[in-house]
Amino acid sequence: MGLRRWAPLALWAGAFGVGVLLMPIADALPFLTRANLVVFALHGIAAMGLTLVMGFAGQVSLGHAAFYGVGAYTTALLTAKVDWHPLLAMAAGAVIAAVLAALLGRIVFRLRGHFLAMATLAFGLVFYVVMRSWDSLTGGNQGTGGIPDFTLGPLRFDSDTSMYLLAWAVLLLGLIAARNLLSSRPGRALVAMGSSEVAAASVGIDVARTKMAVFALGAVYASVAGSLYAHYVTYVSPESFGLLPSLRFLVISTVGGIDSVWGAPLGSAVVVLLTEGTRELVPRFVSGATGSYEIVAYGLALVLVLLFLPRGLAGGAALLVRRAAEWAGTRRQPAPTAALEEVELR
Amino acid sequence: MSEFLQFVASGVGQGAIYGLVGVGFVIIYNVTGIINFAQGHYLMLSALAAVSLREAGLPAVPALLLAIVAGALAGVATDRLVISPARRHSTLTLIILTVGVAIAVEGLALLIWGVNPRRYAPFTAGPPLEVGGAALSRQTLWVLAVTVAMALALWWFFQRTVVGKAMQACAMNRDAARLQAINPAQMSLYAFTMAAAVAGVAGVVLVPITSAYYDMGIPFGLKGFTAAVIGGLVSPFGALAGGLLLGVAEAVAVGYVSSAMAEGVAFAVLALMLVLRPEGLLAQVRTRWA
Repeated sequence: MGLRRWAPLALWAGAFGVGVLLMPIADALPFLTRANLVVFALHGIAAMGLTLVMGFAGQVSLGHAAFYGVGAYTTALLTAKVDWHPLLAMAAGAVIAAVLAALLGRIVFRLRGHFLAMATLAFGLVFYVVMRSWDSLTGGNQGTGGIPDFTLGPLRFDSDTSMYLLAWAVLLLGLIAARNLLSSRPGRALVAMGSSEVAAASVGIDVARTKMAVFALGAVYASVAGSLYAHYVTYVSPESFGLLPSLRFLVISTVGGIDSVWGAPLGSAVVVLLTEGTRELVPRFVSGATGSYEIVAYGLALVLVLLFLPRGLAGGAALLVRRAAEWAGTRRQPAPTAALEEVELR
Repeated sequence: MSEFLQFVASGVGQGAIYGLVGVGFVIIYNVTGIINFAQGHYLMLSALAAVSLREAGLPAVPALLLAIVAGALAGVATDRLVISPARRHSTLTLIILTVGVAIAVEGLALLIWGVNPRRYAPFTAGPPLEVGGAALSRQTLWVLAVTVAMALALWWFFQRTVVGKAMQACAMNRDAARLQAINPAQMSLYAFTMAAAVAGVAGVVLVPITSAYYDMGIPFGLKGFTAAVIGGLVSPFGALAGGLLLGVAEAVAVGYVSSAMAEGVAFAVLALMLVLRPEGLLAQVRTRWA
């Protein structure tokens, strides 16, 4: 009994330890810096929201960066201009993001599945255009700066290292929250819906409402990550929340795998390596390469993973673990998971 | 009034292009159920290929034809290398795959052609023509002529050829079509090839008006999709009409309000369509392809 109680705690403490250990390694590994570790953790948090949306609502969002932007801009405006406490500003951003997502979800979840992708793409672009042109509020193209450091009581997060530790801790909290949610009553409804919408509806689950709720929850994850991002860079501009960042979140979630909450951090790590790798390698082969050419790597990663490892890296890893467990003779019941393939679309 | 006519005149050219891109969305969606995110990227590929071939010294006609073929081959590659191997996956997976194709193609175009927009001269030189008090550029006339020719060709294809009829059958009922020995994998290949070729045609006639640049795929794709949604996403001709409507709406908004509106119009129209009339403005032409 004692072991049962403490094992999860030890697991999470261990995971946190692994993250901390990454820091000294980061300086030694190619393509990695401590700043990249912060990016890895922040993108992991935001993408976890998208993973929930894709895995359980069976919907793809191409405007996820807009919710990241809602968090970032809310924090920027409330902490730099009116001096709110960072936590309060973060909460405000999360509420705004959730309300926006619920409104958007209300409209688009009535439609056949395929429209959501285009509708969220348009939503993301509209958000980008509004942030760029609403000069008086957002500073337009120049963006808005002067965002203070994140503080928590006596703690001040003003360096790559401290910010990374904070983001990594929030990432793990997000993981724990998602796992706990999935084993609660509404969470089980979500899992049921992820495997078959028709079956879920037949046992009394309000599919449209549940989808809306999970879409709003996904937006909250993105918004919290966005708030942390704003404190980290102390300055936000529309470029960070346009189409490319939205596509990046899609790549992170898909490559990591949408069956498991571990997919987002795994995918985020891969995407950071891909981004830094292409940025470093491509100029050696193509002289004078400019612009965001890392999208080649994103596109190829997306296609290759979906073709050859449709459950993503986390799905592949889970399969390996299961095989190993079977081989060792300790058979475990696989947890019910929702795969992209099983999600019904009409 | 003449001011309004002038806006219409400048909007129809762009609108016809949106319509041609929209036709591709309709063909692929009806035959396979996929919303193809790479649709605007075929237009971009053909446009940039045409610029390169012209710069390499090829005469206009072979250069443009080759560029259209290049675009169509990109459609073939999308189907054979990506869609076909993943056929057993869900539609959601297939849609994300087309997103992957789109961004990979855009990145490759960036590496090959760089960030600067390029263009070539209009097909026929000369001052704009006066039509009912509005000035119409000669290239716009070319765009309209090509669009009409494409519409006739599509009508002929869907009404008079066996393959066209088979694709129409897929659009009406995929399962029933299958029972008539219509091979869905083959139809998917035809759909992607045709959609890419039509977008390619749009690309090469568009270059003298807007230039060709590596990231034109997504804006033109989104506007083409909006055009297709206005037409109800079921009829190629509905998409063409939707494109013309969208193009004119854009030009009018830019003319009467501000040029900053250009980007917003398509998104606003798309949002309104999805909220108010997801079945399209032209619902009565549902499943009728001609």
